[in-house]
Amino acid sequence: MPAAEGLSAFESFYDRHWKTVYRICMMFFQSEADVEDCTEDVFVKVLTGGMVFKDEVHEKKWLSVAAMNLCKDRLRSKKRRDESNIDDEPEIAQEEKDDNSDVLEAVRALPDKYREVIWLFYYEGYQADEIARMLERPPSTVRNQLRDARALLKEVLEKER
Amino acid sequence: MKDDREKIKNAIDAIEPAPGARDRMLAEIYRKAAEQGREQVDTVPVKSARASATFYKKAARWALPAAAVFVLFIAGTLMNGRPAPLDGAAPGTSREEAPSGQTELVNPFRAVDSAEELKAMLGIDVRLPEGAEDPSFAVIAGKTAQASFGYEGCSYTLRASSQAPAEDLSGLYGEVKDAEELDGGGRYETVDTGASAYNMITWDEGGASYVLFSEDCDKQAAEKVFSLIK
Repeated sequence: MPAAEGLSAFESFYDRHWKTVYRICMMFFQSEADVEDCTEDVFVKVLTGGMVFKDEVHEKKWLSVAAMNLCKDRLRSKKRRDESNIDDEPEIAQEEKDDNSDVLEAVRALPDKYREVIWLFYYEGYQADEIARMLERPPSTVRNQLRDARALLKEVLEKER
Repeated sequence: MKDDREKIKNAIDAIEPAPGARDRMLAEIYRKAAEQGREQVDTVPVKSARASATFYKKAARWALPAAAVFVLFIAGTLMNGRPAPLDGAAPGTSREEAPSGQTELVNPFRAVDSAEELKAMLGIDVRLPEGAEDPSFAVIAGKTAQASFGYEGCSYTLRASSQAPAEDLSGLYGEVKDAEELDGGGRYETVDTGASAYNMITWDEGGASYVLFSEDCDKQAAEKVFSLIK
């Protein structure tokens, strides 16, 4: 493919997926700057990696896993930074409270491993076996994580009511 | 469970990126990709210079770092630095191996060695001020010339295209705050992308459109560079 076509191919790819990647990052971060930074870096990975995708399903799966891995890495280093720095960054404005933001906050409060399975199962609609392959976890682990995540979510949401 | 699914799906669907986020992020993606391209190019001369050393000298010099890199690579892979392979697909498959019908994403940035090479490839003159530091050159999507350089403590990006750009040649996609026509045929603008503010000068010359912009310089500095390269 000539380089000139490469750019428009990338932009079509970006248009197909940027909102999904943004939403995944939003499940991990609250600050818009962090969310945008993570979203960008996922696509930079694609752009500089000379990726080849079989089809749109493959694109989606790859991006979901890549975005979640990147977010987890960022959260870990952010946590390390925060621990060593007493002057925390200013908090961003609170989201307007409604049912959706309560659910989102509850999902954000889950441990990483649960957030991943929640996204893939509830939002993307993958089955446990498929999630297990994507995340390279045993299917039984994924099922247990789904069960625990559901219980935790329920608990958090009931507390908020 | 169906109720849970709906609740979660609705909450996620309700997430709407801020206005302008699409273009702002796209511009940043290109900027970051170009930056990474520069880093890769910068490492090439180091490798080739070392290739001339004798085998034993090389082995002694590289054994320890190579072992360290290998261990880091394995550790990185195991500690989820990379996405899991999916359905036997090979995300790093090279361009030549891509069978037809697959989506192939090629980095539109191609690093070149010099302004002369840009001229030969695109027929566009790209001049930098004398004393420009750490210049690097690239062709974007086969039609836009780019030079990045430092000058008197500021970093600049210069882009030029002889094909009328359909969109913002700078790739900043920001909001123009101030604009002023300059002596010498240029137009000065301050551009706010939401994340950063840029000083930008655009002009046409020799059938090509040019844009010079910087995040860390002031108007005076940008005008000086413009006067030196126009």
